[in-house]
Amino acid sequence: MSSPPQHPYDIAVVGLGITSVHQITREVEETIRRSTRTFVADRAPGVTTYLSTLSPSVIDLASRFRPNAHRLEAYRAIANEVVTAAIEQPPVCFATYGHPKMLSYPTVLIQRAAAILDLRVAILPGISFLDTLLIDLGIDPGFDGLQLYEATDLLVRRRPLQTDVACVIAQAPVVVEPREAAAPSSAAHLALLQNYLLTFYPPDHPVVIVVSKTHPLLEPVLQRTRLGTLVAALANTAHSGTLYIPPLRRRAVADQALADRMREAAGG
Amino acid sequence: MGVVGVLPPGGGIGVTPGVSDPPSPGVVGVIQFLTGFEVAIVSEAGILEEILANQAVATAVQAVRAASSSAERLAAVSALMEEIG
Repeated sequence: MSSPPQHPYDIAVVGLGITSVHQITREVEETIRRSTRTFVADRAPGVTTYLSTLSPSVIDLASRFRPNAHRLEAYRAIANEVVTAAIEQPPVCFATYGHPKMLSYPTVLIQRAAAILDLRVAILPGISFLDTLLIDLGIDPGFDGLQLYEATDLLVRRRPLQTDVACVIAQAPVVVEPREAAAPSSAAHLALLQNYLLTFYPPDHPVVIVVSKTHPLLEPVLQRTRLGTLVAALANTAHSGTLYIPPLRRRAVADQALADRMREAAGG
Repeated sequence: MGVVGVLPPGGGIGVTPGVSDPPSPGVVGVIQFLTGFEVAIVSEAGILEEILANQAVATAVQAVRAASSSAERLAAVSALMEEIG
């Protein structure tokens, strides 16, 4: 009698990308095929249906996010189901939209619980909101750098911003909002973010709210505004919108001799 | 020389291969650690240490191990989740 196949993990945590099923990688597909069950946290159209063609058992986790409930409750419930399933019938897969190590708290909980319970975890990347944002805006952080903060964390820690470096602020429309709500945060909460940013940038500084497409037939939404009118703009955008703040100015070269050497090396 | 029993730090024996050596047939993967930097660059390591010092976590883990049904296990893991994040 042959022994059951051995897998190098008990829980696979995988990213599904942003644009429906079109950004699912081959390694993620292979992992889902090998898992006994796949738990899905992705509301993009068609994802759960497609994964049902790969996995013998697909559990849609969308219902765990109850209106007005604290999001932490949903994250714990998701991690609970995945870890319990991994104890009973490994290997299982937790498939989340985007990238599983990019603002994904269920991944954190699953990893912590797995470390305590001696479960093996494999994590596979997906295309994140940051990846699609770079495409939507046509920017490359190799030239002037990039700073990335989560909106509420930015305010809670009063993190300093470097105004000569482009800035990405994730989850800006739901800043200081711990509950699952149908609408963006209140104007008072959004004003906290706007006012904090105004301590670094002038009110007429242009910013863009980016909502990447979640289906290949859609177009990304780029909502341009000024920092002084950020509250009104964020109040009328999708939860998934990401705030992009371009640099105020470009940092001058501080070591011209070194910069010249780089050009010489290229023969330019 | 091939890799023999490569384990994480503190995990036991290990033989480091020469860079040009082919992998041993028994090796399925090599885990590379930034020795001496784990705690400094991964704040999660410190958080996990704090979690493991929590008696309620130990109690929850015992309940998970002792669970005899799926419902019991789900409840026990739920209690664990409340303690870890």
